[in-house]
Amino acid sequence: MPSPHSPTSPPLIPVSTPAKTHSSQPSGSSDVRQKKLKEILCEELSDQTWQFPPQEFAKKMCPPGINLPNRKVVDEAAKVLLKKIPKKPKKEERAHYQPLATILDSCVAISNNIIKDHQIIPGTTKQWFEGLVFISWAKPMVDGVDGASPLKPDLAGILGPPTDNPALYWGQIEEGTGDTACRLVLPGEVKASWSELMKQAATYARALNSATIFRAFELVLGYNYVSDQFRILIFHRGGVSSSEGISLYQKSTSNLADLLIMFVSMMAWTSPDHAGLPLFTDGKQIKLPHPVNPRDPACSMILTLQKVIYRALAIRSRNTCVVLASSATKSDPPTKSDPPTKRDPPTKRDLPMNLRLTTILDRVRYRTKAQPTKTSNSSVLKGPNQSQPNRGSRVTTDSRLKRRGNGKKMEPGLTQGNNRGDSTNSRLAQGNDGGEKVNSNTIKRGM
Amino acid sequence: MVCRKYGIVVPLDAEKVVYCKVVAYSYETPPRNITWDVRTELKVDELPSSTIIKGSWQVEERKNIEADVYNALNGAFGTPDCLYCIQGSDREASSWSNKVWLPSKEDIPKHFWKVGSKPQPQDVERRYLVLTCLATEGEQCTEAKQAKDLVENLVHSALGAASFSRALDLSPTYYDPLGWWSVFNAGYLHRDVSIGNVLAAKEPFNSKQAFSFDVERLIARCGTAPASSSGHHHDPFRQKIEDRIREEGKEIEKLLRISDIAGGMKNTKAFIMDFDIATSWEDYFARTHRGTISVRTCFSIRVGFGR
Repeated sequence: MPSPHSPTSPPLIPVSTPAKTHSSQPSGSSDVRQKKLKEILCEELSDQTWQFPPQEFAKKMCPPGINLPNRKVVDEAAKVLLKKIPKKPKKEERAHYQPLATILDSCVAISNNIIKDHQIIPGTTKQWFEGLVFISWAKPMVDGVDGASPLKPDLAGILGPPTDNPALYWGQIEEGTGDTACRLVLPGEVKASWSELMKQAATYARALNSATIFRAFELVLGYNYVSDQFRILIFHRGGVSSSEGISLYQKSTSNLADLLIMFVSMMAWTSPDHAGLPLFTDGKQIKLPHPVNPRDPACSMILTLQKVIYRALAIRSRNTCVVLASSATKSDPPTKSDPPTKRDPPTKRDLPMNLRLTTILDRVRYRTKAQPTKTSNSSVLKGPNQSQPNRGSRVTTDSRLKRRGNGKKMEPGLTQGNNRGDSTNSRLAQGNDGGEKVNSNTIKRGM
Repeated sequence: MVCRKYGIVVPLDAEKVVYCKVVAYSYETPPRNITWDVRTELKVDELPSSTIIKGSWQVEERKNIEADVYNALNGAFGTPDCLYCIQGSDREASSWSNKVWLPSKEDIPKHFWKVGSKPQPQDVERRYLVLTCLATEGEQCTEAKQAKDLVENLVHSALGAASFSRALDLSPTYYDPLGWWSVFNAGYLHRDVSIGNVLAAKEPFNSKQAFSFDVERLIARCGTAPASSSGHHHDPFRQKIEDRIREEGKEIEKLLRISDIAGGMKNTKAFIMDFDIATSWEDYFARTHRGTISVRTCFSIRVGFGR
């Protein structure tokens, strides 16, 4: 059995379905399913729809500690953007895709210039959306949420220049899927009405949400070509929040400055949590307080996620996710990007507890041997390489579209893929105040 | 150079490219330490070999309820051992709650975006990520290999079962859910009994407390509870609850006499979990409740106040 980090191993969360084309599906079924899904999501969002002026929305999107450029700087940049706005297309939806992609690409390029010129983020820090480019898409995604119709976002934001005939994925991409495989990081939708656009965008948010457990929000771009209004939509667990509509073709630098300031905020994202992704898990492992002393922030454990027992595929609401996790066989070291612990260094008062901790953990470490555990993987997104659907992966049709899954079995442990310092000890060891360092990987109770 | 495949940025050197291809992460960053507020904890000496982690986005007024229930349960029969309930702390609040994206209540009219036909809401929905870690590993009851196991699991955890009473040639009544009653005994109504919340323990485990159902104590608690909206102490609702508790007490007694549980009251084979929408029953009728009770009828036999 392959290791979960070997090239052939499937990712934990996304499960694949065979790629579906329209011709392979029963006539009408895809449309019906998609329509039903949109109704459900619309019902879910209900009246929890909010909008904010672009300046305010930009501040909401802006990472903590980042100062946005002043209005004068943005106004100047808007003049540059104005020159790059193409001619407004005819009133046909498809005709808007490419011009919109061009405008958004210009926004990204100009925002990047502002960030660089005004040192909005430190020069060495990698942007979360570095290399972001938009392409006119409107073709089915390769993977999709279990049982739902393949989605076809009109615009696709991807990282890096597109290859010829790229294959776009919502979720993780398995090894061996070819060089054209590409992850969609920022979907966009063009529609004639906001209500229709909202429903469609909600299906994209659902797909993005299903790819990562405990995700806080998903970002989707929307353009109403009838009213010539562009919005950034954030789907979070309490509904959807949006920027107020911005006209793209009005030849107004004020509008374009509003657009740019939001893009500067977005392009200043450098960390997963800025994009709504949880910091304490990467979909394979999870880092949580150690149960021996959970109130000590320096005391943590790394667990390997084995199986999704239950997942509610809702975009608003509790979005419950239940996973089975086991003691990790290897751990990542704390990285430089780890937020510094805000706890004071251990004092004499802490010493007895620290000593006790070391003793207990050492005892456990020496008494037990790490035993391989069978891991299985369950997921929500489905990709092309998994020919046999999981037994537990049927789609329910209840209003929440709840789903429980079983998964393919995977080998435990991490291979070189995650070896950026395997020998480093966990935070647990760091909290031991000079005592013997304990590798949390070895802490395992006898099975 | 960017690796489009995994949506991450990597410098163009051989080692990194291999790394990028090998790790099919959702995103590249390894898990980091974050600061948590610990709401409840179980004192343990060792790290369990496996853990169930439940994460859910709770509304503000309910974000502590699960921790409260686990604190009150304290390892009661038919309920799991909870290692801890944690929330992202306020210092990281923007990432672990959606409040940054919402207007204040006063600003609702200003920021409501009327997209469909729905009228402006009265309130916003602030939600917080709450994680609960359980030391008890379980699987769905539907994975039971024998009917007897299934029935036993259901009795231990949450549900009464007609087949159980028939099998034991007892009166044609349903039998009571012990885990559910443990929750009730601790002062809470579960309100979300569903197949996903009732798990069979992978290995039977000894609960910290034996099953107990002290009828007189529960009735006394009813007596001390605040009066319901009618304001009368001889409230018909309260009387109904008292009558029901006496009735259930007899049924449970009967069940304990004939089942294995009577011999080893701590040997829990299944448990009920997920107390997200539980509520304290002592003042249940004196409060207003938001939302609906989520109980699927096919699994709700005698687990509420009404049949």
